[in-house]
Amino acid sequence: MIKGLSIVFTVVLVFSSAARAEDPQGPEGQGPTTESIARNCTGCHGVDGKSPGSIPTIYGKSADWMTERLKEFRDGKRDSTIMQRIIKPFADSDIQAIAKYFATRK
Amino acid sequence: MTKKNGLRTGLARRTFLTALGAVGVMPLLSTYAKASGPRVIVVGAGFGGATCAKYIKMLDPGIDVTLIERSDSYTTCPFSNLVLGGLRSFDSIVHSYQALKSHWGINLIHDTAAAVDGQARTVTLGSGPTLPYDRLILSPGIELLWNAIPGYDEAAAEIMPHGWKAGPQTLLLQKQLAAIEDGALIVIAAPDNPYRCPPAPYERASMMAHHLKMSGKSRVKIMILDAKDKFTKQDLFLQAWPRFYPGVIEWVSGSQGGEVTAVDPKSMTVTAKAGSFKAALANIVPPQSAGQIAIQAGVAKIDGWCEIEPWAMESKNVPGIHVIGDACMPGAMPKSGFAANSQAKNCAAAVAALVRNRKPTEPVFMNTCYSTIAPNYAVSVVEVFRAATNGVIAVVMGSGGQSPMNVPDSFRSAEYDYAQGWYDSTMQEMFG
Repeated sequence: MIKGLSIVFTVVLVFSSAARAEDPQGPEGQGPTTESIARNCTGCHGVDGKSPGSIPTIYGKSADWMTERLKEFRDGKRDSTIMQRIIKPFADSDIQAIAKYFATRK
Repeated sequence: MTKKNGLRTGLARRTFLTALGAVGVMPLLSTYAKASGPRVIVVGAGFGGATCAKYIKMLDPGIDVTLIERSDSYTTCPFSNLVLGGLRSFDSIVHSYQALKSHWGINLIHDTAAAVDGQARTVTLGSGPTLPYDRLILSPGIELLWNAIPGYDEAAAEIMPHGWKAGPQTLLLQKQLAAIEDGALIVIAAPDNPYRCPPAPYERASMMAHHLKMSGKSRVKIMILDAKDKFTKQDLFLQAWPRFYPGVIEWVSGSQGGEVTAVDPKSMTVTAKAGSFKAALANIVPPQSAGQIAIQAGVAKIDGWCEIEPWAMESKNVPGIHVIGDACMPGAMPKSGFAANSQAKNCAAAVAALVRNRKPTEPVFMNTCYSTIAPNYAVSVVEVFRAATNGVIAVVMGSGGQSPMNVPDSFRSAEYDYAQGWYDSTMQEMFG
């Protein structure tokens, strides 16, 4: 579900796509895939979530642990510098999918 | 979205081989000539191009990827201000393309792209040969518009550096900064939007001020003459400057007469509506457009920037040509290294799908941009973007924002550390 991801530009548009495309080559109209969200994470967290520097490594963690962390950032229950600003519009289902994606990176 | 992505015909390849034979550069381009998979050419190996070329290979090693880049190594604009501040060495922002060739099997050609024929789907190199492509990705960065500010041309830039393409210009600025006498005036001319790296003029002023502070030159003034009335992270900069550099940095907004209307390198005079200023160091950032090859290829609009459709970053003017990074005009996304990297990865996925006759999936883009104001003191701006139904990239409602005001120094210090971490991760993504 991508219900949380609505956008604002000159007008406010609300995406109400029905389902996530589990297949990364899924057809148009199904909303962003997990891969298309996750490939933005690697700009800071490193390729496949393996950080070479000061930003936390995020690959290979338990998906439940990661889901919990991301929800805490989103809901303001855990302090962060930028993670709250990034994760805020993502629905639970997006967060679970991202957590699962990085949990399975090797 | 165009689906014209079939393999080049045998005829095209024979024509190509003949062209290569004629100019005698077969050994250089032998990898290209032997290609069996779909052919993708990427022009420009910066934050957009290097990332995109590598990610196409990561996603589908069977695609033949040729990267055309004139330079032997890459010097990043991000963190070049930290070199001026003395917080990084120049060598630490210079990166090798070696792994792109040896590890990822990208055919790296050190040459210029002299011409693009979007109808024939070919790129002609500066040295002569013409290469066919199935998909072309242009990531040429910016062109500085000489004489847009009267008096500011290529020769003037050797006296009044822009420092907006990192490399020799960074070293020239560094040299001039080191030589400045106490009590002198530094002028930074900041352009109107849009331009490469919106917060960079203000980070630059901060880093110059830090250098002066460390050098004990407490009486040098830095005047930012700005064409704009507001700038990104403005409140955060304006709050920090009096604390770290009291009385040093003065910002003159557009409505205060800050727009620079002429320069005279001989007399080192910078003229704005607010008056004429004789500077010991004049750092002139001129107006910009997409890189020249994008204009030659016919993908730029009259305003000098390239309109793209967001799903595949494909030109709205010429099918089969994708434009990423600073050269494109991607709706609400700023012209930043992070944005180029985000666009590159989405474009790589889309192009890898298109050349295999699959549809691209819907992209999500992000931008995270750190600015260093002092050692252990950095601020950021963040956004998440999606493709809007009106064909532009738009900010996701509720996402992003700037670092909060009035937080403990530990917050700024963490952002300073994370800025270094971002750089390390992104360099690994581009060149590792």
